Amino acid sequence: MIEITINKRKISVEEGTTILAAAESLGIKIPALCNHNILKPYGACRMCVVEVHANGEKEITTSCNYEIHEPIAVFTDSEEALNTRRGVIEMHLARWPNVPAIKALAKANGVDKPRYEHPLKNESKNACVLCGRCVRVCSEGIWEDIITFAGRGAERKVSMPFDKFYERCAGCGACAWVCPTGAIQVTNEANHPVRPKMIRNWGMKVTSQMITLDDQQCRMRKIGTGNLVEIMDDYDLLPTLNYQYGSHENAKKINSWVWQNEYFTQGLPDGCWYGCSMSCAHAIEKFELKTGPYKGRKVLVDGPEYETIAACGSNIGNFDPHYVAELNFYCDTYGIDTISFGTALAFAMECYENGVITKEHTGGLELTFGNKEAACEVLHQMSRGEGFGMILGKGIRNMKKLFIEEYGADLDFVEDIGMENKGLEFSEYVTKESLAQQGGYCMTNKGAQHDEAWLIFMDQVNNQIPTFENKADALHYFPMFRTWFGLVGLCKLPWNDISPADNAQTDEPHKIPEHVEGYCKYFTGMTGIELDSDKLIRMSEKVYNFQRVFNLRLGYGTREHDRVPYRAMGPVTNTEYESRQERYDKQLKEKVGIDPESMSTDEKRLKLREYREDQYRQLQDAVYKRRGWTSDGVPKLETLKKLGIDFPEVVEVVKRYPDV
Amino acid sequence: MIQINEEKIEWRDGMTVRDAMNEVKYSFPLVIVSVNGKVIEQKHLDKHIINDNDKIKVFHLISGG
Ligand code: SF4
Ligand code: SF4
Ligand code: FES
Repeated sequence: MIEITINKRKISVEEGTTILAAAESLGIKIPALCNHNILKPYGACRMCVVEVHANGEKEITTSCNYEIHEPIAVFTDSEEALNTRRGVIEMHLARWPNVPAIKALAKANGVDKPRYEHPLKNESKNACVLCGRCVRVCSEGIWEDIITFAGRGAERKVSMPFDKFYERCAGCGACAWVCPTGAIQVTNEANHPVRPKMIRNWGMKVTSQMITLDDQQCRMRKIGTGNLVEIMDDYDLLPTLNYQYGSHENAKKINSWVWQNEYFTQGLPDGCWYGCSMSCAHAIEKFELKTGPYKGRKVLVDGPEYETIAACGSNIGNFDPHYVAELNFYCDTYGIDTISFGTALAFAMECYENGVITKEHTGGLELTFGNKEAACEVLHQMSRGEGFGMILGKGIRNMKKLFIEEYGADLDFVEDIGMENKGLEFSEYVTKESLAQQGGYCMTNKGAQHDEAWLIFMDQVNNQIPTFENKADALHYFPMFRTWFGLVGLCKLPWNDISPADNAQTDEPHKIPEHVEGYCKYFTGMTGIELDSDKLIRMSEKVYNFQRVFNLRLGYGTREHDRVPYRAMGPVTNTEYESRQERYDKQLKEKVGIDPESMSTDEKRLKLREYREDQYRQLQDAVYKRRGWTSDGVPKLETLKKLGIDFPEVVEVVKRYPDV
Repeated sequence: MIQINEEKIEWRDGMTVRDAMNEVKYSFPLVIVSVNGKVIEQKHLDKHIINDNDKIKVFHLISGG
């Protein structure tokens, strides 16, 4: 910290703070024009000049870009500073006499009328004052350089290349938002929103947060969701070897720094959504493939993201980043989901290691954990509809059936380790220690995904939802809230992968209330229909219940279909139990109330299982109740009525079940 | 002894909030940290010294696809 004085008032600031920022924290206002709090200091307009005394010398300097590195004395309104500033303002006023922002600065600083006629006088109220904020936000914030300064001296102006409209412009409106004079207006509102300004203002809030906070938060712009690899590993949540464990000593070989430093080549807006300032998708260029039909060719790999790194990496025991990217590329090329592929392969590998399947079934492939060449080969086979790849391609549910019915596999073991629900493979989180997330994965309409709810931190780390009722509330709110994104077709990452600086001070920080409000405003701005967070949930609730009824109509959607494979609940094998023995023993003692001291691992594992399965049953009761469903998980008639979806066809489906 | 969420860890002289978080591997960046009920700003986590018997709460927000 460095002690300085501003107008003789003492303040200690962190090294590198600008004078303008230091003054602001004392409540001293320095006039500024080209400066903007989300942009890097620029020092162009000279409006913010102050007098600085350092090492016995005195200078008049701009304060917005003056970084403090030594004790100094600042005078914001010394005569010399004021005179210089007034001169600058006078020049601005002479050139742009009718721009409100300039007039206000003149008034506040006692400049009446310019004493001279400016040769470049522009009398427009919305004249461009050449502050450069627009140019900088387009480059620093949106990562585009659509508008730039062109020309010199009197010719200098803001424009697009060759003075023509450049189609690359996303029309995001960031430039218009930072412009102090209204010189830039977005006129082509392609989607015809009812209230475009409302949308832009909220959008710019998120963009401002992206620009100023992302580097310290999730690094979405640099690395994307891959930032989660090392975090999940730290919290014992990164699935390894078919979800047996939540961390691995080799995880560091595929963590986000490896991708950022050695693989990702693009620091560009990704075009996933034009003009999005989060731009979280990243890519590898000139990646040379080692296998498959394009072997030896250099290609562009779109990714990998966290889920792919875990599914095609740690979960199948592959800690070679090259092969993660190779699998990523071929999954994309063949049109195969990286999560389902990785999770299904992890299951097959564990079956192979346990003798459930052998080389006879795999066509000679040695399907051990970590065999990355075999992983690629299975994928290529899958694309051709051949060999074991064809079997894997049918997914875990079908593999289980085949292994049990045709290969004589042990039903219990295969059911326990086959990580699917409703036929969909699990995405990449270990849920053993989070009961709520077991519900988040399996009391779902779509099967085992985390798109509906991700509650692990709330549950397991914060202990924020300790009772069944608390968990049920979360398993009502979050699936409804997150379903809404699908209804309106908006991305949900700007909801929770960036959070406002003052989020901690809100009542419900885990919901990120400011961003929920923002999404309501997008909706209202687009459609003209007023929306608040309660109405938003109600909107989703209708659809969510519809989906449940749809599942019922197709023969799914009751309690038995919300079943969790035990691997997602707790240790299936003794080795797994022993790897986290201290944790499990403690739970037996504290939660189940038995003394594990003299028990064998087998006995302890079974006791723990009994306890955890019972917990899940109780959670099902609470969640179904909270959602207005019967104890079999069927929406009750009164729920359908309340939501206004009690159409005859819908009622007919649910009436077949008891207690509706 | 200090408490950090549900876990108890040894206290050391000069220990900062960040040291305690590192010990239990709390590496997630979107957190709200309080010591004995008082919220500590992000930028002070590396410097804020904790005393023996302090109670630290590290409230994790949600992120990810
Ligand atoms: S609308 Fe967006 S992309 Fe286009 S020039 Fe302005 S800031 Fe750049
Ligand atoms: S258009 Fe607006 S933001 Fe851009 S330089 Fe001119 S006054 Fe500044
Ligand atoms: S605000 Fe400092 S030079 Fe423009």
